[in-house]
Amino acid sequence: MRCPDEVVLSSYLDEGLSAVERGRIEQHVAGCARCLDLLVVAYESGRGARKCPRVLQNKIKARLGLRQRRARPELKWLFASLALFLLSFAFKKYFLQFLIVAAILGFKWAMEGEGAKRAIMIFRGMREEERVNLPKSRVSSED
Amino acid sequence: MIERCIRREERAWEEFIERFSGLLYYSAKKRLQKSGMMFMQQDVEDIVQAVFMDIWEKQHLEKVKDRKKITAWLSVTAQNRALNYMRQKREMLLREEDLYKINNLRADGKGCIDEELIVGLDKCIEDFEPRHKIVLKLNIIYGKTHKEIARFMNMPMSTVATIIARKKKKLKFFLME
Repeated sequence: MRCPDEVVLSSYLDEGLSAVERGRIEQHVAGCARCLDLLVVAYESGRGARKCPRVLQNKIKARLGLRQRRARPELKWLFASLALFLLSFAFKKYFLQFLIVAAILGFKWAMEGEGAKRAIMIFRGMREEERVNLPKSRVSSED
Repeated sequence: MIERCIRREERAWEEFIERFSGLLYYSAKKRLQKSGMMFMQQDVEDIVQAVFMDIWEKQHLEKVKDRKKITAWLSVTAQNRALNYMRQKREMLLREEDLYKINNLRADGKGCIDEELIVGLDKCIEDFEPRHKIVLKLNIIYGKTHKEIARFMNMPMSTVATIIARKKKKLKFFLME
């Protein structure tokens, strides 16, 4: 008997087969090491969460022509900051405390924004460049 | 989600990739390990990508009977793809007459099944019922527990335990002869 196709073989593990169909597949699998092995790995793969590298997932999405959704800016910090700012007027006794926490959250929101990240990267890049160029300039001055 | 994937909804496909790429990755990698051939991370990634491309381009999802239980089909598909991939790779090397490379492709045997054990066991259990053969193989060759076998074969655990006990006794008797 020829090996059953993927759909038939995999349906054995899905419990959706009649006794006759089950028996037919078992008849084959009992004598076919390859099919039994395929089923064992399929069974194992369904147990527990399996991870795939994020990079690979993005590659697949790109190959299928799916739009890469850009991460939404973290607005929760901004809303929390605004809420605390408004609360500071409501509870005048703790005005300063509320204001400080609102300022911290506002700062966090600003630093997590795309613009701030880009600025940090540029700044780091400039520092890195300076560090690389420094020995060269020293060498040229020694010459 | 599968129905939405068939209708080619982008969001559904993103979800599909995120949910099942790990399963495909595991299956392809495991199959390559079991085939006893040396492979690289890139090989596994190529296989996983190819499977998704196939499903997308050839609308393979329509073939699946039970759309709620798609994991087994995906895993078997990924494994078959992995086998074909390695076969093609081997043929390519043979065509280039780099036969020596083939010898070097044997891995350290990690994850491989003991061929001798399979052949020996097959001889001993020749007359057993197909169902019992599978139970014994899962227990002896793959080291599966009674619980796992019961789940795998969709039968009560007590039945599995009885089959294993009885058949092992027979095997013992057969080997002593």
